[in-house]
Amino acid sequence: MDGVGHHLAFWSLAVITVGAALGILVSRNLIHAMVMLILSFIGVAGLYLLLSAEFIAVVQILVYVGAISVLMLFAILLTPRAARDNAETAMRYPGLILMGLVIAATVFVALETDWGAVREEPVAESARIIGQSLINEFVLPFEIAAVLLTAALVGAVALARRDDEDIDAHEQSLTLEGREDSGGSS
Amino acid sequence: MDFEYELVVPEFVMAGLATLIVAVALCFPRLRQELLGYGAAAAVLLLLVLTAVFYINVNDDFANIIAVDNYTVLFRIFFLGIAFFTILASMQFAADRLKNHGEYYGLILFATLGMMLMAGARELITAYIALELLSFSLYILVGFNKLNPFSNEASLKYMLLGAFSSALFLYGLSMIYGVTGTTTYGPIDPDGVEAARNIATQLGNFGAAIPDPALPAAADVRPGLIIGLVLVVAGLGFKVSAVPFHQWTPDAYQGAPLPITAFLSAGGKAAAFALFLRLFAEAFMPASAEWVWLVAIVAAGTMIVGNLMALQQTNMKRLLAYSSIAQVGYLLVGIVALHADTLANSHDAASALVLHLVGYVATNIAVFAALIAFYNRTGRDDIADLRGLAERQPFLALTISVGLFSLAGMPLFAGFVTKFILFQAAADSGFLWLAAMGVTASFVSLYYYLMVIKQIYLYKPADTAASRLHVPAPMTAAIAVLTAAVFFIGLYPTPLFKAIEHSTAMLFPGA
Amino acid sequence: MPEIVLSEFAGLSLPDWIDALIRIVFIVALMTVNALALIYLERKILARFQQRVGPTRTGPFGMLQSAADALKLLTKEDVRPTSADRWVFELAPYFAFVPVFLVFIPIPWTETWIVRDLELGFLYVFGVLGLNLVGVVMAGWGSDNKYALLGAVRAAAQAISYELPMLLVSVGVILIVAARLTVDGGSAFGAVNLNVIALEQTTTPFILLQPLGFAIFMIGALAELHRPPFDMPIAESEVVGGYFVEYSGIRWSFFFLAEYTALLLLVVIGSTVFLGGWNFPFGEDVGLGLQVLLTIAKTSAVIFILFWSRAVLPRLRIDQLMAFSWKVLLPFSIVQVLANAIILAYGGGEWIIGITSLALLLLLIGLVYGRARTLSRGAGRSLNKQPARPRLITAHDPAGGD
Repeated sequence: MDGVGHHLAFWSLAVITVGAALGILVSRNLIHAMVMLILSFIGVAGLYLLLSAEFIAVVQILVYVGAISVLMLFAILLTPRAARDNAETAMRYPGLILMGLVIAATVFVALETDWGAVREEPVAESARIIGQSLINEFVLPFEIAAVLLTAALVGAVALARRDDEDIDAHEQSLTLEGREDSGGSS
Repeated sequence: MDFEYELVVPEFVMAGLATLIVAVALCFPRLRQELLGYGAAAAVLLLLVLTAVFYINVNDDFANIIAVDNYTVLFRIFFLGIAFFTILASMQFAADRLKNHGEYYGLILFATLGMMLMAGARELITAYIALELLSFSLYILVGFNKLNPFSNEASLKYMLLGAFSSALFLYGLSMIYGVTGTTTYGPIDPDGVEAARNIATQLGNFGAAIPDPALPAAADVRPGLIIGLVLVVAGLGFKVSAVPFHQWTPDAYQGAPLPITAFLSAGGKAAAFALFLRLFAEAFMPASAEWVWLVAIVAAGTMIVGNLMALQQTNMKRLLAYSSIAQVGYLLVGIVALHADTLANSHDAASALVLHLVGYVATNIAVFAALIAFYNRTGRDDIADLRGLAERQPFLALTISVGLFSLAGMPLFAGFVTKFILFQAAADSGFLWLAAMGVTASFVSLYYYLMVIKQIYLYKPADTAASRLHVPAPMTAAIAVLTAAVFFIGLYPTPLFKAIEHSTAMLFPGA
Repeated sequence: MPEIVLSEFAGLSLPDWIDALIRIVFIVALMTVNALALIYLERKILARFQQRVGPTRTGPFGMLQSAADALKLLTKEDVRPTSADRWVFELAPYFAFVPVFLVFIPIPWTETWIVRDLELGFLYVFGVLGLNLVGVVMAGWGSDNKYALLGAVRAAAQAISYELPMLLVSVGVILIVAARLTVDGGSAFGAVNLNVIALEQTTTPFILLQPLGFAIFMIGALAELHRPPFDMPIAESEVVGGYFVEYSGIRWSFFFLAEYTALLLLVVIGSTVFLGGWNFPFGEDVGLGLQVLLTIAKTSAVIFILFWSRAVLPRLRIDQLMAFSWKVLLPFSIVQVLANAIILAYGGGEWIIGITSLALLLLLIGLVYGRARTLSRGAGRSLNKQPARPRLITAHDPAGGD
């Protein structure tokens, strides 16, 4: 993994990832923070590519950027008054100090520990290896994950579903104006 | 690779059952809602019996990922029992106050499945996914009372903090993986076949007199390991609500539907401890000197804060929340006591922990079942509302009192024996100060439990017109069984303790 | 797998970075020419359908009309609403444009003309293409305009909904390719490589094995591209112009460029996956020229169908549009994938897959047709009926209701 190209790519991706992550913290505007988050995700995907984990990189983009971030953006767009900026908080400086400590600790740990790399050379066909482990030794966790998603889906539907009685109870508390708004979707 | 799928049949049946209940409720909306509950309870009971019949002393594993040894089977039976009583206690409550019964029972079963897998997992990723399965189901169940703002608030808080703690836990696991290069817990799978690479062996140089040059040197990996352990303890601490990660507990307990509060305090904790114990006993044992002080401090803090905060509660659910935090403190003493001179002492500590867990869960479900019966009739859950309960419903009054005495650790009841054995194990392992602290904390706890019992027995009902409360027969039966169990464990713990000792022996293959 | 190496083509050997540069220039040129040509063609074809003649004035047959339009757009003032969120508004076009540009990388124009032959090409395409939604949502939000916001929300909802069935039916094809690759104990790795998918279609294009897949893929492509009858996000009569209503000049043309490029790309991918791409029906040995011609022919045919549908189909309502994806297309695509998996796992012949898929397609058509008939029959009658839920009238009457 030598060569100017790799170093250049690593450092520019690192700057994008960390810079965007800092941007999320600094920005008081939700949408700006989201855009930064997406940039950060893309940076991480780039780093995965450098580690020759192409499959993980593509999935990172497909899932985190293509699905999760867009859903989050969607939720923000549908939230009333999402456009307002977040207020100042008194926890700003304590938070900064804490962050500094955490970063210092992480850097110390990262540098001081012998991480005993399992292998040095890039893995060829990482997608195939991942796929084969998922249907071989890790088949059970894979199936548990499927059950987990089912449970989450069932629960989300149960929470989000509007029962008829709910609607009636809800409408009692709405003004005439609000009722017109809620009418269309049922 | 061929897999012994027959080992995990109970888990598959559980997943199928959960999906089936959701599907039945969806396809037959006119079905009587009680039938769903009775069906789920009956199926769970049947599965419990079959698991007990077919899986004791199997001692095998599924691809070295799920161990099906006596420890797993004990917890399978235990969790199925919890699910059975929770469903039984939910029936009336759900009919009166909740909607979407199919999803409700289905999610309880999904959560139970997660719990069963947590006890069996001997691989970090599996353990994490099983934990998430439990957590996700609980997030939703806590907020199941959709139209109640407290329920919504509780669910949101629980979910946000739960997600945060899961992230911490996962980050910790990644550190452990980074240090050891593997996610498998221990060296010996129940077949006796040496796993190629595993955490316990990789950590072998910790505390070893002569370092093995083939393994990473202790000094080289210590920083990464310690930060990993801190994060794992913090993540699991959130899940079991240990101080200082306990803030979500009272709110979640208060806002959740009452049966779910019971499930949360019994099942959620028991499962987290099942995972905690297996992880620390099987995987992190060689490095026990590195984490024991951390857990000891958390345990001491949990005992103190839980009991002191409980003193000033006026709501029964919040009181029980803080009481459960205090109980977590005692349970953590069991984890601390794993760090002992001899493997036999560690084994004793693990057995004592599980025994106390079983006693605590039986007691807690009994108390909650009685509270649910009371709440179903009155819709109130403040301590002051229990005033004069002895006149209105002597049976419930007796059950609650028995349960609270047991939680306080009075003789005759389960709490005394289990705590005694637990603190004795701690003292044997050289943590006399923690045991002393636990005993002192128990005395403090007696005060707030007695305040409740005073309300029940010494005062007249606030509303003189209040009539006797009716408790449906299945509920009475369930409460009676649980109360009997509390007495049984308190008076004759030997058979249960023997069974637990036999099962925890799986965690210490050398002993 | 030989890649397109322009340097070898010219008999020279150039450093990597010059090679990369040449490829980029090539793509940029292709994008521009494609957009200009498609706009011109769309106007001409639509005009034919509507008994008009379309642009005639600029150049021979009006062929320079698009170029003139482009020139006009470039010189137009770049207006930004004062209340717009400056950074989000100005960056949005690039967020919409760059991902589309990146999708060019793994597209097999011919067997060897690929910018870079990615093993995970198909996944890559959909991963990266999904990114341009971010630009759309940014544009809608940054404009500080209610119509733009509505358009963006619709675009995001629609894209998420239709991406799922599209991906799932493609998984159906990938399953078949993987089954073929593993037939002699080989590795299924590469089944998501677009070029490998094209290579597998020497004798039969996958449209014959997966007619349902092709139909759903094309419907999904229409929806992803916000083209009629799925153009709710940019429907003039409802949300004025959708998410780019506030844009003008060069930024607006970026959106347009992105849209027409995405059209070309999705069609090329669709024809690679389902119609055999450069391969069918002449095979691998026919040489570059014929392969290019094949790609162009297939692409043009599909694009013509898309233009055609724009001319003849009315718009769907937004809730019908969402329901169609989630309640009709998604179940059908899941059934398709499951059927393929089961048939392949139990060693059924590929012709069974084809028949199953055809049966599913007929069922889908029947369902849609039946539903449309009931709706159109009911429409006349329901005029005399009370609305199903008279909300306003019975608001204060608890006894009222249905």
